[in-house]
This record gives sequence, C-alpha cells and structure tokens, in this order.
Amino acid sequence: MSATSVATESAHGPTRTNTGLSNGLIGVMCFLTSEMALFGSLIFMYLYVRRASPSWPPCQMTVGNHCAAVYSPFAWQYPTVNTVILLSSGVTMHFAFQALRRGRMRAMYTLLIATIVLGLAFLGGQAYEYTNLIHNEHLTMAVNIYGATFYMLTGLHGAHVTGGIIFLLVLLIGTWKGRFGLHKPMVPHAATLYWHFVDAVWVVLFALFYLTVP
Amino acid sequence: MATAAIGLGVPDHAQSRGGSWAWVRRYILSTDHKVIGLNYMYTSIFFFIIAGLFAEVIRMNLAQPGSKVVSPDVFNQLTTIHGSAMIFLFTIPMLVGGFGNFLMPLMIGAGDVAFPRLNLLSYLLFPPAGIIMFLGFLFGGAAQAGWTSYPPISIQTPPGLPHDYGQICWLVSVIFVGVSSTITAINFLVTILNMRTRGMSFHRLPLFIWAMLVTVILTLVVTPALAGALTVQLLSIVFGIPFFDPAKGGNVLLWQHMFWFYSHPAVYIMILPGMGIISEIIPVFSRKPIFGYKAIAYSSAAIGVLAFLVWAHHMFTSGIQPWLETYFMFATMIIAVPTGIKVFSWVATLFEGKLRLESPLLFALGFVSTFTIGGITGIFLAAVPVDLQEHGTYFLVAHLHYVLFGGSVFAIFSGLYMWWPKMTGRMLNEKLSKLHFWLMYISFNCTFFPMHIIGLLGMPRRVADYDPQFGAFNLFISISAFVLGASFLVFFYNAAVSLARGEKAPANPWGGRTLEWTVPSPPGHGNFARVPVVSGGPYDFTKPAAWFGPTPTEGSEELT
Repeated sequence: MSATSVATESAHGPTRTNTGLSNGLIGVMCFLTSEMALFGSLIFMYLYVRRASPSWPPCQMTVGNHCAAVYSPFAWQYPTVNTVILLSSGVTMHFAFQALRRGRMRAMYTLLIATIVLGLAFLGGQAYEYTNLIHNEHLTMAVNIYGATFYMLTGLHGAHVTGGIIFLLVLLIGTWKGRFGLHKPMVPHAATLYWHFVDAVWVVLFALFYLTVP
Repeated sequence: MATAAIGLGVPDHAQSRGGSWAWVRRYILSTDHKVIGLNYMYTSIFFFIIAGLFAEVIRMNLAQPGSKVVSPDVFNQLTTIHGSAMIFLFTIPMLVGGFGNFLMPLMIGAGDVAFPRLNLLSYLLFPPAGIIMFLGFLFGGAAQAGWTSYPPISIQTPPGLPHDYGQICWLVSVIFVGVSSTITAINFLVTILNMRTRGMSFHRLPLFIWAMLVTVILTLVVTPALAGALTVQLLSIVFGIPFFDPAKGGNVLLWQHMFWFYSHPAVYIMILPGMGIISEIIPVFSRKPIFGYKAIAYSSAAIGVLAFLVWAHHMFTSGIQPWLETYFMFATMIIAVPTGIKVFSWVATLFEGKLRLESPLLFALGFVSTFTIGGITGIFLAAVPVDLQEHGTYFLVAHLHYVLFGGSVFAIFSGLYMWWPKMTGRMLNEKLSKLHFWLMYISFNCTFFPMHIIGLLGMPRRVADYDPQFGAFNLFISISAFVLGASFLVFFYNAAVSLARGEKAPANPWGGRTLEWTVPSPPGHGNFARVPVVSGGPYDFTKPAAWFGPTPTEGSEELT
C-alpha cells in the first residue's frame, strides 16, 4: 500500500486530532516502523548466519582444516560512490521539502528532479555492481549463504529505492498539477520521510556488507 | 452473507436501490468499521468451523490405537492446517479484525477508524488468504510440517511432485494474512492515538482499548518480521536459495529464531484482546468498578515489552547456548507477574460484587479458570529441565489448548454473548446460552485435561498412531472432543433463532458504562449522533448512567 492513498484518505478525517499531527503523518510513521521491522528481521538473519559461520566471508576452498581461498568478491570503490550518491539525494530531498514549505516552487522542482536523478544513478550503480559480481565473480543467490543474504538485503533495498523513485515521480507530477503543495504538505512530507528511511537503511547495509568485512 | 438477513441498521448512503450490486456495495465493500468487523467475524467463524471439523477427524483417528481413518500423510496435513487456520484465520482475525473493528471506534467515541478504505482493503485480503491455505489439498496435499513449518522438513519436496505446492500455498496465505493484519495495525494505532473523543484521556480508555493498543503495536513490529521469514522460506523452496542449507553456509535454526520472534508475540496478539474483553465483562456483571485499572492497563504494556524478549523458550530442545537457555527461562517466568496481576485484579473485582451469572460472565469465569491452568503449565514448560522432558509430548498440546482454547476461544464467546445484542440488535436465548457454556466448559476440560496426564506418561505429540497403553485415555478424549464440537451447534442454533425472531435488544441490555452502550443497537452509520464528551472512567458504577455529557438521541442524523 503506497502512502499516497493514506494521505488522500486523511484529508477527510477530523480536523482536530488528539496528538495535533495529522492521521496521515502518523500512519506513514507507523508504516515506516513496520518497514524497519522487515529489514530488521533480514538483518538479523544476516548477522546470525555470519556469526554462525566459522569465517566471514565463508571459505571458498578448504584444504584439510585450512582455508586455502578466502571468498572476497566485493570491491569497495563502486559501493562507496553509490553511498555518496544516495546520501546526496537525501540532502537534495531535504532541501526540496524545505523549499516547498517556504513556497519556493522553482527551487523545489529543481531539487526534486535532482533527487530523482540521483536515485536513478544509485540504481544504475547497483545494477553495474550486480552484473560485475555475477559475471566476473560468479556470485549468485544460489551459490552460498553469502550471496543469498547479500542479494536478498540489497535487492530488497533496491526495490525500495525503485518504489521511492515512483513515489517521487507521483509527487512531482502531483505538485505540478497543484494537487500537493503548501496547502497540502502531507504527501511531500511522507515522501521525504520515506526517502530518508531508504537512505538510512542503505547506511546500515553498507556498513554490514562493506565496512565490517575484512 | 447473513448480514442482509439480520437487516443490520447500517444506512450506507446512496444505496437504497435494490439489485445485487447494491447489496455487494453495502455489505461487502462497505467501509463502515462495524460492517467490516462483522464480515471479519463471519469469515473467521467459517474457517473456525472447517478447522474444528479437521480437529474432529484428528480425534477420530486418535480414538483407538492403530486406527486408519486417515493416512499418516493426511493426518499431518490435517494437524498443520488445523493449527494454522485456528491461529491465522480464526483467533487473530476474530479478535483484532472482528472485535477490534466493531468495538474500538465505538469505545473511544470515534465515527470510524482513521483510514476506512485501507480497513476495507485489509478485510478483502483476508478471505483469499484463507482460501489459498486450503488450496494445497487440491495440489497433491496441503502443508505437512506443522503450523511452525520448521526446515528441513518444510522445505523437502514430497515424492512425485515438482514442488511442495502445499507448503507454497501455506506460505503465500500467511504472507497475505500478515499484510492484512499489518494494515489493520497501522489503522488502529492511528485511530487510538489520534481519534479519541473529547475527554477520553488514556486513563479513561476502556481496558479493551488498552489491550488493543498493545496488540496492534506488537502486530506492527513483529508481523513484517514474519513476512521476512516467510519470504526467505518461499525463496528457498521455489528457487533453492540456500538459506537453510548447512552445506552452503545456511542454518536451519535461523528459521526457528525468525519464526518465533513473530510467533511468540503472536501468542499475546491472540490473548491480550481476550484479556481486554474479560476486563470489560467482569466489572459490568459484578456491578463494581474494576479492581486495579492502571495495574491491568500497564500489565498489558509490560506483557507487550516482555513478548519480544522470550522467543527462544520455544527452542530449548532445538539446541541453543546453555546461558541463553537460562536467560530465556527467567524472562519467560517473569511474564507470570503481569499475567498474575490481571488474574488477581479480576478475582478482586468479582470479590463481594453483586454477581449476575449470565452467559457473558459465565464464559469470562470459564476464561479465568482455564487460562490460569494454562498459565501455570506454561511455567512448567518455561523451566528448561521440565521442557526438555515434556516438549515433545501431549503435555504441550494440553498447555497450548488451555491457553488458546481455554483462553482466547472462551474470551471470544464471552465477547460474542456480551456484544451480540449490540451487533445484531437482537437478544439471544439465555437458557440456550447457559447450556452452551456448561457443555463447552465441561467437555473442554474433559478433552484437554487428560492430555496433561498422557503427556506426563510419555505420549508423543504430532503422531497418527500411539502405544496401546494410552488407548483408554484417548478414547475418553475423543468422545469429549465430539461433545465439545457438538456444543457449538447449540450456539449456532441459538444465533439463527435470535437473528430470525429474537427479542429486540435495547441500547444497553447489561448496564455497561462504556460508550458503545450509549448508542442504539445496532449503531447507525457514523456511530454517534453528537460527539460524546467523556467526564469519568469507564467502570464507574457508583454514578448514574449519564455521566458522559449529552446522551446521543436515538436515530438522530446530525453528524451523518
């Protein structure tokens, strides 16, 4: 369920609420909590198999009791560039929302389009990395638990980035047509929260898959 | 559906024309929380009947040692689907979707839930989910690995099939149910936080709402985690991804951790709303303010916190670190404290009250007595040495049914007898209701109490056949189980007669003090003619009835 319909429904809700926040905004926060739980369970899975494994990354080839070849296909360069791209998109998104709140629509459109472009660049970088891993390192989901957890988590995150880009496009067109804006800041606010959430998840994944692996 | 037959007084605007499409729009696609709540109830009672019939077939097979009513494969399928359907398709949707939807907005003085169309979506996801679970029977056999679906058994392909279609159906079904209940949880949480009427502070909330609040927070956090686990198992069955394959670095215990991180809180998702229902009924039928309002409310919250910290007590026999076993044992036993606070508060409320032993209170007393037994055997099983001995035996089956049948199902029927007049506008026959209670209470105990004994004597659970020395016990259990099943016929007969020609229900037949009793039975669309203003607690039986602001006039359409 996208947050869009959450937002449109809340417009018909009562004007005064107990908390002072709109139903839609609390709904989006609850939705992001459930998303956190989803990623949390899969991150738990990763940490659990990583802890249970005698070495991480798992040994590719054992000779006797000795590990002859360590499995380490991840280069740090592309993911780091990708991280910078995604974090910058968080910054542009933040200022896009601030511009909207101040009614500076031109700045808002520019920053929103920049966010979308950066998001697409991130997806492109990830596609490049997947292709590289599959063709050069022969690492797929079915090979071992390393590949399985890596593609599962980064794939789920990629799906969320894709969903986020679609959400931002809806926001862009909707604002252009005057359906959202200063008078109805709920959907832009929801989109901003969602995009920051996706950013934050990536920081965790980056740490788990790249920074903490020797 | 029977809603039309009831002639439920829910005037959904612009649908006065006849025709079947108008009927569908009014009773199936309605966004009114009361209609959605009733639809949840009809659907989950339908699954309750099917899963109950499965249980009777299981008991038929177990009545005599060596009997071959069904093959061992089918026996496994029946036990798996019996458990899964009772939990995912009856207890949770009935309590949260049914009672929660119908009562929660009324009790907090709201016109509807925060997102009515999302509410409809979560109902519409539920019947297909249930049907998908049973579809496995058409594709070479349903899931066989038990409702817990432990790998490696659950990811093995049955001989002669390209995939384990039954297990795939099971996984898809539970993912659907999970999405549905997550949406409901978001909706309810926003409603309770944001849409309480004037004067309805947190310390004036009825205890059922407190219980629902904790329940939906638990649902919101653990159900997506279950969705993650289910997706992982689905990927490993369909695409052979080695999550549970030790040869490729996977781990079979991984599933048990991920599954129980959901399913232990799920036990509280099933019991907390039941406890809430009991906390509503006992004060009304004792004519006394509830003893320890804040203690009961905060003990729900404490149970909610502890629920996250105890999941591995289901895994003592699976092999976890000994120091972890000690931790989980103590954490589990601590849950007895908030649970005990509730039980003692209910007993203290009953003490020296002016008891009216009508059917809702009888079922509530049934709940308190049987649930307490289930709680005490829970302490047995939380102790690691006892659990190592009893985990694989009927003792555990007895414990589970005392908690979920003696607890949740008794609470559900208690609530049905309590709010039936409010939901349908008709009274039930009190004599038949009492007959139902006594039949159900006695046959329930005759069915499940002997399971403690045969469990301690060593009869293993999840078996289609057993040692002849347990024959006499099992025959007694099976006969009691048939009586237990038959006791529900009394309820269905009573319900049918009530719907057809029952006495019209007044707005407040039991003398309750919560807001739902201030509106006509059944309540109209939009619930309240005027916004109610609350100026006191929900169980204040010392004050005259109209302590809350202006009484809404019947049939007035001011707000709608």
